[in-house]
Amino acid sequence: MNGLSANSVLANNAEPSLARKALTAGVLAVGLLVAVVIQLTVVNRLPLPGGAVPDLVLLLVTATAVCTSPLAGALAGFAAGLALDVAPPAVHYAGEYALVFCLAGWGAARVDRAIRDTRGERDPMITFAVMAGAAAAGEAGQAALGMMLSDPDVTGAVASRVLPTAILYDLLAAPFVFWLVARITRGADAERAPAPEFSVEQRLAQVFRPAAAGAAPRLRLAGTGENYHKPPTDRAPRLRLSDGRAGSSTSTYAAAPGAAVRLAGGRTPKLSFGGDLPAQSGQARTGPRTSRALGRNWLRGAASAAHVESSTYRAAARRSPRGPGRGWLTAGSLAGPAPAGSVPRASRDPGAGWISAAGGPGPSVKRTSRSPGKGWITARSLASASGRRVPRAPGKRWITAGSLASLSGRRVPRAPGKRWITAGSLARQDGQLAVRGPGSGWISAGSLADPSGKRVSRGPGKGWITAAGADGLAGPDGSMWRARRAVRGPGRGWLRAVRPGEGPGAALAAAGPNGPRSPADALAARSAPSGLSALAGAGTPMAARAPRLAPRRGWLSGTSRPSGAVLGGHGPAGGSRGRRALRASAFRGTRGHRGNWYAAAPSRAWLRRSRHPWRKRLHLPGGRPPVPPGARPMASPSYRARGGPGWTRTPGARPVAKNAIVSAARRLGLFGGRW
Amino acid sequence: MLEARRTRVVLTILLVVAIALITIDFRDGGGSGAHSVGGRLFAPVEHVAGDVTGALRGAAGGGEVASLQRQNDQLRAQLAQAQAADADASQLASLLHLAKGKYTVVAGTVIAAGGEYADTVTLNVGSADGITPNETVLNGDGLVGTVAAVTPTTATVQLATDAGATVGVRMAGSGQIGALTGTSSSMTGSAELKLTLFSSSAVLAPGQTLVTFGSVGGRPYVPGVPVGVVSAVTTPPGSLTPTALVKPFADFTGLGVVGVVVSK
Repeated sequence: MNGLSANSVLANNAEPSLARKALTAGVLAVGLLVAVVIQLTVVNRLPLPGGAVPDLVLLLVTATAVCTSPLAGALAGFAAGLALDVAPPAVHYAGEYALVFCLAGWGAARVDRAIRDTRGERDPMITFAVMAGAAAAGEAGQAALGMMLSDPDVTGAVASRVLPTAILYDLLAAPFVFWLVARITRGADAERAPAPEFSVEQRLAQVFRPAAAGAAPRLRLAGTGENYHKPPTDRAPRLRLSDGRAGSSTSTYAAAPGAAVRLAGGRTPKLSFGGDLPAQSGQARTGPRTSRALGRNWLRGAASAAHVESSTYRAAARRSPRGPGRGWLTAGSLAGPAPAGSVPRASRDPGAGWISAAGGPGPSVKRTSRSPGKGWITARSLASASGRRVPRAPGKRWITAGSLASLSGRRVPRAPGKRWITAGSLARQDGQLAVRGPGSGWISAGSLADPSGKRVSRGPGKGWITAAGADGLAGPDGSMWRARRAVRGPGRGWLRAVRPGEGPGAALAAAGPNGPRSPADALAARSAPSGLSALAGAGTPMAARAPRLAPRRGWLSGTSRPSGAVLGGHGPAGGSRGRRALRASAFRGTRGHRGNWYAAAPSRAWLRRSRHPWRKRLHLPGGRPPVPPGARPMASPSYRARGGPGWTRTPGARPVAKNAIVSAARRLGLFGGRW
Repeated sequence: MLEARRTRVVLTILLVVAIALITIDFRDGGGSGAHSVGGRLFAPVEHVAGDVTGALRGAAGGGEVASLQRQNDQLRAQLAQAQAADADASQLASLLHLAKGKYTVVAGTVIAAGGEYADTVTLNVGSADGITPNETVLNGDGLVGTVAAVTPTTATVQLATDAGATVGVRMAGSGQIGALTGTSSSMTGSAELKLTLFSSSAVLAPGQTLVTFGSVGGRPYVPGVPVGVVSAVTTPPGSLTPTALVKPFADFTGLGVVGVVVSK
């Protein structure tokens, strides 16, 4: 099978076998015991000049820590320190060395891991430096603790005399110990993911690194207004998934043969997953990339063909030929409609937990610059639009696709379980969030839902993704995404897409298998205070008063904003009063919060006034998307009249064109609008 | 992240345990059960290691040296006893209630040493050989220290250079008494002890010899054991008590065979 070969390729990065780990742990434990005995019987008796001796045990503890993990470092430090505490020549208080060595081991591994996460690679020299520094700190901590406990042996004079010499001897002996431990743990320590969690350093690095490279800050939430106080006027919903290039939404697809995938508002869906490469839409890519398949659970992008016919809307999502593990996600349907028969398949399944994403046809498909390792899905390349991410990931194996957000990119504040994929930012304007996930291995794509607020129902198995509304992307008349309930699927790894026959117009009426919903139901479902109540049904008591309710924590105020296309003309529930009230309540939680440099972009007004270099990269090509039927009139008539694809913040815009464009936009009165 | 959380939990537990151990030991004055348990666990290992290193040292220095040193220790102990008796036996006995029993010396070998701060060594003889805490340890050169703790097979000796050790001494010539404290510098090779005489009128001069003053019952120090020689007088101006630095006779960096004076 293809998967077998891929697995063999990945063998070097795979988790080492349990036997190998146990063997290494045993060797290290015996080594610690031997080190304690040698330290007491030999090293301490060496008549070295300076009155100090190297501390083999401390060196071994720190080397073990940086070569394994913080947990192992803490355990090794405690055990070795306790042995030194109670072994016969010791007269100090039992527990001193245990405390100091435990902290030294944990701290060494923690610092090394943080540096590794930030740099993205493992440098033995840095690791050794961390180890040596931890050993020195351990020596100092030893002396400090002895002084704190008023040990008569450890006085300030003695410490000041002994400590530098001891640290010097430690540094001299450190390379040998480090080499030895690195050799022992070489086979057992898997090539760990550099970023098993989004550490603070990496979070900052991912924001600053593209900015430093000259990329335009695509941090602002598309769909928000001039600032966070002003929601945008009723524009057509725009789904802009990681639009990486200037003008790619218009020019590229105009040149593409066949009718391009068109979103509502004339935009094109672009979804870039890690591993994808930029592909022109005219070039069919049939094979997935395997070159950087570094571990399992990678989000894998199979950049796929993109010759599409607008008439053949197919659910491109296929089940992977073999889904060896749970947590599969075949996101082929996200790639847009594909011609019948040429549906891209994830042909190679290298390991468990893979996610194959048939890449979008646009040139915006990006490649993650580095692959962090197993267990990860890097949604970093998805982040070009809004750059959001989960502030803290409570569990491992997270997929944070918060940066997929274009219109409303919000995120789940905290995810309760592991193996979650929160694609809440895929949301359209009112994308619902999976507030609580019932099980592990879920991918809640409830935000792909349509305005009627359907969400993924209780999925029976693990590894589900329900991506409704795949062909809702393609409505030529600027229609919405639609939500489908995930029919209780018998297998795993399914991605359900809407059938082609279900037109965009029918989506509002018959949004789910339960039949048509009234606008009141839709509103209630959208305003339901929790995911479970939304699952239970539309008409919760809270939902009845939904416009008055402040959004609870974790609610997407932006996403719960009703769009005119949904509510317009649907009776009193969708009237203007309710809309205003809902909007006011939806933004209650965000009032006064303008974001910061990392999490959100400055407002356009700020950019316009500021002297920040980002300003130079801002221009306003084109006009605005067409207004969907039933929407409120735009604030600016000229805006509607042009009906362009909407402004786009463009990275790398030429400064030459900027002035012309801005002046043209100013002439057209764009800056007078409310957006 | 789950791993990090687990690490945090484990780390917290370990730190709490360590602090609890320190607290308990602190309350017991360093004599909690942890030390005895650790002694029982590590004594056999250290015995083996000490035998190995001792064999290496013996091979390097000649096996005959060890036996001669042992014999020398015996003679030194007897000489100290005889000197103590000859000096002023009746007076000392009446004043200090010295034990009149016979001293026997149990010879042991250093098998382990403490760290940089603690001047302690471990002998390969323990309570099974009749050693109890607070017994004098000496070698052919002079006073070494006192037994701090024992296990059945090992004895931990607190050296005279340890900062926590205080030895009562007597000037060999003048008979002035004073106290000798360590400076935790045995490993430097230039161990120096600090002498403080109790009499403000005593005269100190370099070259004077010090012997142990002796304690009640010979614990922790038997009388008459030579300790060292005054190397420098460091009496600060205006001080009431003369102080000096004393260079010990024993070489604390190269301790091999030592004798433990077992009083019966």
